[in-house]
Formats: sequence, structure tokens, C-alpha cells
Amino acid sequence: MARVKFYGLLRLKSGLAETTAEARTVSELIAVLGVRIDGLDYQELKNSVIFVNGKNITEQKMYRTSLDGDSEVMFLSPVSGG
Amino acid sequence: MATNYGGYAGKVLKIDLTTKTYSEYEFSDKERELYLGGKIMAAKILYDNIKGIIDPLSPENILVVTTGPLNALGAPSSGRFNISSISPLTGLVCSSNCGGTFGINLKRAGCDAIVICGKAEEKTLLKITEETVEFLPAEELWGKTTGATQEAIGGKSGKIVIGPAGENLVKYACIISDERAAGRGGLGAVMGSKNLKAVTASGKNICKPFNKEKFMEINKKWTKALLAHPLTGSQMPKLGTAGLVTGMNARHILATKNFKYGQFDGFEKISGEYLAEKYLIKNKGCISCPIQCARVVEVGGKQVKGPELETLGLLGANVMNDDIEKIFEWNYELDELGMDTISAAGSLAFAMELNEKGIWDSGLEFGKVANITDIIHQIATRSTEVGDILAEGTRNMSKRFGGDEFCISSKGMELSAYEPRGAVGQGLGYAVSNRGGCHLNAGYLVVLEGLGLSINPYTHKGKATLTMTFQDLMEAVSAGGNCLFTTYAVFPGFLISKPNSIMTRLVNKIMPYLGGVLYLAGKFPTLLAVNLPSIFPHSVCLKAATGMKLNFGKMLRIGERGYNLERLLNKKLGVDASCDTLPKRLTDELQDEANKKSKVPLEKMKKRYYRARGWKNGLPTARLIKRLGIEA
Ligand code: SF4
Repeated sequence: MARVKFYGLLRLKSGLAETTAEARTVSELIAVLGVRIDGLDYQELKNSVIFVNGKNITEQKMYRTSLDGDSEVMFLSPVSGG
Repeated sequence: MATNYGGYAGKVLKIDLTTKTYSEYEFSDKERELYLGGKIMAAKILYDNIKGIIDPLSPENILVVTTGPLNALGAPSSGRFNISSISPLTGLVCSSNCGGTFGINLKRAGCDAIVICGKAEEKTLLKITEETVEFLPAEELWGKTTGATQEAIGGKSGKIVIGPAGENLVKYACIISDERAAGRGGLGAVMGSKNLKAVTASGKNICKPFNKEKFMEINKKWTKALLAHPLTGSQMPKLGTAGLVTGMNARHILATKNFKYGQFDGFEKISGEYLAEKYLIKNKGCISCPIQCARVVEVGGKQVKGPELETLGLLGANVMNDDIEKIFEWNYELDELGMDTISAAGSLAFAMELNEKGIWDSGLEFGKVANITDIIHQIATRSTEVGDILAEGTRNMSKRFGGDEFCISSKGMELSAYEPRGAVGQGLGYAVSNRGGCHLNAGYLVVLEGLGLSINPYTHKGKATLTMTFQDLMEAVSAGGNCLFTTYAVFPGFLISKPNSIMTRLVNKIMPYLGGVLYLAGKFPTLLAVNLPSIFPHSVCLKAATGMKLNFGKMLRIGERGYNLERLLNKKLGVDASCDTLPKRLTDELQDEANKKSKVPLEKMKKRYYRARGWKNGLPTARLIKRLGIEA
């Protein structure tokens, strides 16, 4: 089971800080979570900033980045500056 | 002297505290065209009045409060004003922007700016109205906190005040207007050194835009666009700047343990999400702003301004504290005592490391929160040796105790909360910034290097020209009177809301190679003589407000003029390339042993930056000065 954490607006919208889910890739994970979590849909999760094990998926295999039982996935809403 | 341009009040006042006199300070329409307003107008006034190195806390220094043409006209996010002087922290030019209502009220009192010089014999409150300037006794206000001072003055006037820290010449004392701070550079100490406790402004003067109909139409569209943009319409209002903590931590740029690391285990408990879920009472913000990025929280049963990202990071991760309620309390105390939260926090962290290394035992330790409230008070009042030493800022502390390599400041100003080894362009900006370790004057490249966009944060490629362009752009936007956060909307929404799309990834890849294009555009400004209302409404709005023939290129040129003028002023104060530095921790030590690029390649980037700017030895050449039309 991958450990999944939500941040930014995603957390505020879903009221959920973290969950676990069974998935082999980020793409599968988004499909699972998009159905399961109230307040978040597939598109929103797909358009999040996604880190797998501390690394942005844009530096890995994007949505094909593989997951295993030890994976930690962070979904962040886009941010700006301050 | 009136002006032919719209938006301005048309008058600059010079107020001499020594002689208790005031007169009109000449600022021509030609100068308005060249320097616009805000921090650039202030730089021009400072440049013309400061002849060489001075003691910033002597009567020779001047304090310049300026507004921009958009202030008081009702354009979105245009309630902010500027205060500039020679900083007691750095000895160099310092401008500090503030969201309080003083600026708008100054224009209502018929002034675009005030130039305060000399030193009052007694503690003084200046009262500015349309008719007169009064020099009132302020003995009874002396010693009061910033909140109590404003309450005691009362009424509906706009106010700028100092607290005990300014009175006691703490090198990073700030100036407060309402709840908002002109935080950086110790300008509160400049007021204190002049025996000036407060200034009020009020009146009924109404500044009018040059083309009212057009101006209203632009503002309506602009406000709509800001509210529709994912950053300014959603992220900023809902999470405030505090919403950055998580993203910064993920990207290794959250300054931790005096900038030793870029990630903090306890980041969740100092994050914007945690603040929003557990503590947020409501949003708040500056006047005329649809974004409303400020937070309201409770401290001791009282509703107060919540901390910004910088304060959360530097009084959280950087001192190894994950107790957000303590940060609320310290943030409130620092505002009330009148101290910059960034420099105060940086000084605390440096003292903690000095103690950890056995160099100076101040009683401060990473992760220990029990004595911080007390020490903050000791700094503001300089009532103990520890407080007195900390009140001098990190550069003076390192002169006394050593530890240069981990003294996290640039030109004497403590760095903001972004750890630049995870965003090297931000590192270049910190080093070359005229004001010192300020993220905004640095060009704020971290927004491109991970926060908003995701260009490679470890490459030096393109960073020099991007830094220069963003510095100039922000300089001009600020001079016009807008909040810098309005510039986030220049990034098309899809780049932000679709961070994984092919288009966004392409832009992220291409951006570092845009350096050459930006360089050329800088050389041939006519290439940019266009108006881009959908991504840069600032120039069209200013054009309608003032009647000046403005466009994107001209705004960029005004910004460039401002940046160079500040550099020329700094030259008079002893600056050259040798001052554009960072502590060795950031340039020589890897943040992550496994990532050989995780340090700031400063010298390489500096060379390119000087070349792009047309500087020699870190200074504008005579040719450049001429091209920019600066009368130096
Ligand atoms: S965005 Fe925030 S800081 Fe800027 S004007 Fe609005 S409320 Fe003030």
C-alpha cells in the first residue's frame, strides 16, 4: 500500500491529510483516488504537483512512475510566492 | 508644484526636524516620467541628497516616504506605499514596502512623498494635513508599543509609527502602519534616531486618473483576471503566503537550522494547511486588494495578524521549532515592539549556531523555545548584554564572534526563508541585490525555480538574465504602486494549473535558454514597445491613470533605471562587486552530498549577470548611465 499525503488546496477541499492506496503506478493511483475521495476528482489530482519518494514525477517517469508498498506520494496544489 | 499627469497629488514635501520647518521639494514631471514613483522616486531623492558614506543613525540621513501614481485611485492591490533611507543594518540604500493605509492618506493630504531630514530636539509626532505640517510633542508616546501608539494617537488618519525597538536603535527595527510593516533594513531605527515616534497624514484631496473611463474599465477586467487566476484567485486567498511552506520543504528550499538544510521534519506543523485547518479566523489584506492574502489568528484571546511565510519558516524550521502557536506569539510581539521578523529570526538562528559550536553562549539553542519571548524583549529594549548584541544583527555579531561562513546575510541583511542551494538563481539574486538578503529585491527567481514554475533549480543557465529581468519588472511594478503579488498573474494560468502538461514542461525546459532573447530585448527596448493587457495590465493601467505614454518595454526600462540608480547610490556608499557575496555555507558546502550541484555557483552567475546588466566590477558604466537617462 502506498502512503498518500495531500497538501495545499487539495487538503482543504477534501478535508483529508493522508490515506493509503493500492496502485502500481501514479496513473493507477490517481484513478483509484479520484473515485474514492470526496471533493477531489481525477483531473484535479492529475494536475497536481506530484512527488514520489521526495522527487517530482516530472523528473521521473511522469504518470508511469512506479509505486510499491513503501512509496510515499505527495499531492500538492500549485503555489506561488510570499 | 502641480503636475500635468493624472494619479499624482503633485507635491513632495521636505520636512526638517531640526529647524521645525517644511517646504516644497522640487520633483518635476520629467522626473515623474523617468522615475515614476514609489521606491524609484525615493532612490532619485536619496541619490540627489546623499553625497557619500554616512552614519545612517545621524541627522545627515534622510527618510523618504513615497507613494505611486496608482495609490488611492482604487486599482487592484494598489494600497501599498514605500519607505526608503540609508539602512543602519547595511549602511546602504534600503527601500521597504508597506501595506498600511498611510500612503493613501498621504495622497489625501495632497502629497506624493515626504522627505524627512535632520533630527528633532524632542520626541516628536509629525501631523501632516493638506494645510500644514505640525511638529507635536510625543514624550507620552515614547516607550509605547506600535499598537498602543496608534491607539493613543487615535482618529482616522493614516499613521506610521515605531515601537521600543526603533527608539532603542535596534539595527532591524521596523516601521508599522496599521498592522502592516515596512519591515526590512532597520528604517524604524532611522526614525528613532531622529526622535520621531510617529507621522500621521489626513485630508480630503482626491487624485484623479487621467482617463477615468478607461481606467475603470481596465481595473474591472484586471480584478476579474486576478480572481480567476489559480494563484491570486485561489491559492493566495485560501492559504496565504503560508501555503508555501510545504512546497518549499518538498523542493529542499525551506531554510532549516540556520540554512544548514533545506528540509525540516516538523514542516507540517508550521504549514499553511495546518494554520488554515486549526487556527485561521479569517482572511485580511491591504486596502483595494481582491487577493486578501493576510491571515487573522488568535493570540492570548486577541485577534491579530498571522505570520507570513518568511516568519513561519525562519521562526519555525530555521530555529528548529515546530510550535506554530509560539510563532503566532513571537510574530505579534515583534510587530508590537517594532522589529523585522526576518532579521530578528536570522539573528536568533545565528546565535543558536554560535552557541552550538561553543563560540558564544547566549542561552539560545536550536529547538528550545522557552527563552525566545524574553530574548525578543531584551533585543527591543537592549536591556541585557545578550539583547544588545543580538540587536546589532548577524554581520556585527560575526565581526565580534566570527562564524562568517554561517552568518546568513548578504550586505549585512539577513536572508529570507528560501534556502538558495535548492534554487541557485535565487542565490544569485540574494548576492547582487541592492538591498541585501531580500528575496524580492533579488528578483525572486525561486518562483520560477520550483514554486510557480519548475525550471531546473540547480543550473546556472539563464539565471543571470532572468534575475535581471524580474528585478527590473518588480522594481517598476512597485514604483507604480501595485503589490508585487499581482505579477504572479503574468504566468498564464495553465502553466500553474497544469504543472505536468507537455506545454508546461516545455516552458520549464526552454526558460533557461531565454537568456539570450531577454538580453537582446534589453538592448533594443523597441522590441518590447507593446502593451500586453492580458498578462501585464500594469502598464496599460498606469497609462490610463497618468496619461504617460507607457508600454511593457518602457516599464521595464523604468525598472532598469531604478535598479541602476540604487546601485549608483550604493556606489557612493562604497559598494562594488566585492560586496555581492554570500556566506561560504551557501557557495562552498553542498546541501546534499549526493547532489554535486546543490550549492550556489555564484562567481559564474555573477559574471554573466554583470555582463547582462552592462556593469563593470559590479557597477553601471558611464555608457549605461547615459543610455538610461540618469543624471548622475
Ligand atoms: S496580495 Fe496581500 S500583500 Fe498584496 S496587496 Fe493584497 S493583501 Fe496586500
